[in-house]
Amino acid sequence: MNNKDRYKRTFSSVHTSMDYSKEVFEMNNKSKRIHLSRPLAACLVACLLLGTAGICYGNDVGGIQRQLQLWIDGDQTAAVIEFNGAGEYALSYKDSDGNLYSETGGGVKFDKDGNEIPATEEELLRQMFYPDVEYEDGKAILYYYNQVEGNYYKHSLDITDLFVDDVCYITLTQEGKPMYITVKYQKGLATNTRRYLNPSEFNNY
Amino acid sequence: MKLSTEWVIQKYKDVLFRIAYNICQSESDADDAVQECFIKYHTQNKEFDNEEHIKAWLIRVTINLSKNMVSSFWHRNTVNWEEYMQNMTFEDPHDSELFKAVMQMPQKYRIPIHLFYYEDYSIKEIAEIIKCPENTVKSQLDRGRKLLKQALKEEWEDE
Repeated sequence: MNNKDRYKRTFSSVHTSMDYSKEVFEMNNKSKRIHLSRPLAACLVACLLLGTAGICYGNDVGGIQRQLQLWIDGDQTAAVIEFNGAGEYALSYKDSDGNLYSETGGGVKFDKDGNEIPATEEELLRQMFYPDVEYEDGKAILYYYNQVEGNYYKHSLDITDLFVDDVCYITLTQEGKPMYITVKYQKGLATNTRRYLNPSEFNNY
Repeated sequence: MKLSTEWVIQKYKDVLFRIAYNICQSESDADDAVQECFIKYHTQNKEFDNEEHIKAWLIRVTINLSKNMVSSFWHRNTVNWEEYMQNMTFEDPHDSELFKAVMQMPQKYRIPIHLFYYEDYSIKEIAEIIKCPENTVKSQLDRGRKLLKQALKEEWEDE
């Protein structure tokens, strides 16, 4: 064993037992309300447009309930999502003041014959936590999430200066797997796990 | 870019604690320094180039806060490193000798040694992080190595 390995083995025994998250966010929690990020809210609106709106959280629709931890702007909250098996879901969570929020939505896809197929739970979840770009005060901010052990973490990246001819290309790596993102300025984005999609391949309106 | 604070805390809390502990030699002071570093990260509206940039910034801030902590009137140092070491579980019992040798070195050698041997930073990178000339870092590393060699003898390889 060389010096480096021995040093690392020795000092890996030094670790903290303190819960920094609790301490760091304590002051924020006193004054800040939890809110869904705009990208997530936008996804929800998009889902509503695509799907059949109006299911109520708590209805006995024989669905499957999932619980996950959302970390949004420094606040952790336990969110419950109920899927009804017909491509619809109801999301609810409590903010730091104990106020209950709920959102409903759904999504569909189409088979080769044009028939509607309800989105699966995994597809709905992926859509809810899909990367998105928000334009505000002359800046373009990419929001994206990664998931670790049931926790969804929200990150941001200022991509304002990365646009060339209203297109920018970004690679995100999560758990060693790349996600290639092509962003068209104020005209959406497309992702692919193998290559950057050409801007002409999507949102040609 | 800015990674979420929760993510940064989970990923770097032990990295920063080890560095802070190397300077403060006190668990409570090290915790205070690291906590303050995370609060700065969370509250400052600072953009970073990449994750390595974030890590280097966190380390530099932790080093500065830890040094402030040590020189502060409020320096608690309630449990010294010998007592702390008694409660540590080493994978190999001989590792306690290395820990002891590092803790007995002057503070100015401990940080370059730790960043080099634990975090795998190069001399140039260490110089950038601690804002110090490369030659100074190199001589601090050399002197630190000599002290470790004196303390550990054949258990520390010649480099």
